[in-house]
Amino acid sequence: MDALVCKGITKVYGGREVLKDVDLTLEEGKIYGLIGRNGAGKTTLLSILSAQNPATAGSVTLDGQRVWENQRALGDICFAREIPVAGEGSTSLGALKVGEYLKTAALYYPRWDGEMARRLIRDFELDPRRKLGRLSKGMLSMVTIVVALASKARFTLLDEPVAGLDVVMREEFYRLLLEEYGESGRSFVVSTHILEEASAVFEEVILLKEGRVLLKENTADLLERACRVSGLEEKVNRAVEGLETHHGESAGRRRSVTVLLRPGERIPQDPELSVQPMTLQNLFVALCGREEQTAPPEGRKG
Amino acid sequence: MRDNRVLTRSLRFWGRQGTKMALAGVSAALLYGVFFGLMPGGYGEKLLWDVVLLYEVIMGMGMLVALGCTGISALLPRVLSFGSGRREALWGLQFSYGIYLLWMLAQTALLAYVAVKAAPGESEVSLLLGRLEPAWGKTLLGLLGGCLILTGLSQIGGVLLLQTRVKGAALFWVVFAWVIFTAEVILGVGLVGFLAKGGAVWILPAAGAAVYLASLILTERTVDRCEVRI
Repeated sequence: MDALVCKGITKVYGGREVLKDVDLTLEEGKIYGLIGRNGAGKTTLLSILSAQNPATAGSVTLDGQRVWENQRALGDICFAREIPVAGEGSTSLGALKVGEYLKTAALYYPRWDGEMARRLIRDFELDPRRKLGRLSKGMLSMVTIVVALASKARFTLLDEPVAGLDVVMREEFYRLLLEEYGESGRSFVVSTHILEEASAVFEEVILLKEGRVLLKENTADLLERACRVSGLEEKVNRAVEGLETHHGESAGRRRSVTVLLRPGERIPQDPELSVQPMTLQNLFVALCGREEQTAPPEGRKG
Repeated sequence: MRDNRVLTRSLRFWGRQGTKMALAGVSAALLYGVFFGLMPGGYGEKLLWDVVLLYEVIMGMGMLVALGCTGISALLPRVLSFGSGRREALWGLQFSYGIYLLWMLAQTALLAYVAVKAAPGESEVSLLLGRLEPAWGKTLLGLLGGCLILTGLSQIGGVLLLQTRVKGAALFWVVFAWVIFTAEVILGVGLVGFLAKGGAVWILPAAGAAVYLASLILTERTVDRCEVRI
């Protein structure tokens, strides 16, 4: 199967290891959600996958061919990210008009769909004659989305595409993404912090934690085996003994804990135990948040 | 097939950048030149087209420097972010310098022709051309060397801008301006006078080739391993 594969990717910035020996295989025809806390290495990983950032160690291949300086592979990968137009790190993109920016993109993506770009520009009510520097954060996100979708690249990596978009536009983005995915079967990797809206879209979820891939799994399967067990501390402890637990919280005599069940495992039935299914967002907090929270006893709060 | 595509897009993108810069330079020269040339007492006894040509040369040098800086700090990251190869972008930028210099040469020649035709015998351009005429080959070599030096320096400035943002580039251009000021004003080493003498005919082209080659190696090393930040 065609795939974008990275093996043993390590990235060091000024002595700090941002990515640690990351192995990842992205198959064609899937929508992946790339999630992780700020600084987990999401943007760095996406930039390395698209050969826009050299890895300190490791390799990235597409269909078995190295991606670095490989024109064929580079034409099949689009990395769409936030367009900086002001402040530290920004270049002179602010003076560029939307239309000019898209014209450059059209030159460089071999399968660029000009008709789709024009339609999206119209739908998003963007003015191609307007300068990028005069666009709001949300509008800049729309330009990024236009590039991502119209590039028609086989592997499209979107870094925080919905940042700055209002809820209506976020819904619209996910609708367009699913529509394009349904028609073309392209692969998308979407990094986002807004998980509630995105979880239904992600076929697989990749969770990065402190520069490592903590899990890569089918979203539905993951949520099916995740649950939150709560009740009296001794009962909870007994019920989850030997299971994979995360993010325990205690308040007085009560305790709740997130459990990731492995095949064949189950929580023993007990009317005094509450076993709740989890959303992707709750699971993310449980896996990436601080371990073991203990609330102060009643009467000593605040 | 794929090579053709790379060539076509390089010609279209980088060729367009060089052409845009040259047209911006000549437009500004015409605008300022005509404005100041027609202003009473603005340039004393100078003729209109002499003033326009003076501006064209000044603007031309300025735009070359701007192309070097923005080419590396803004255009290269933009095309790399859209999946251009690094080598392709590096040579594309060099191509845009070439296109720019050809345009500038054509524009300068045309404006000089207009200046001479508009006031035969009176134009300062005629006098200058008369001084340079005996050694046209040497003059052109000198000009080529000057252009190479400027291109190389602007490319080094662009790399500094890319790597250190404002600080390194600012320091570089302050030193550059100081060297030019010292050479031109304090020591009185005028480029035209230098070219007219024709004695040290190989110094400028050799210095130009060395500076340009150094800047090319520096740019290649930077672009080859840099993280793309648009």
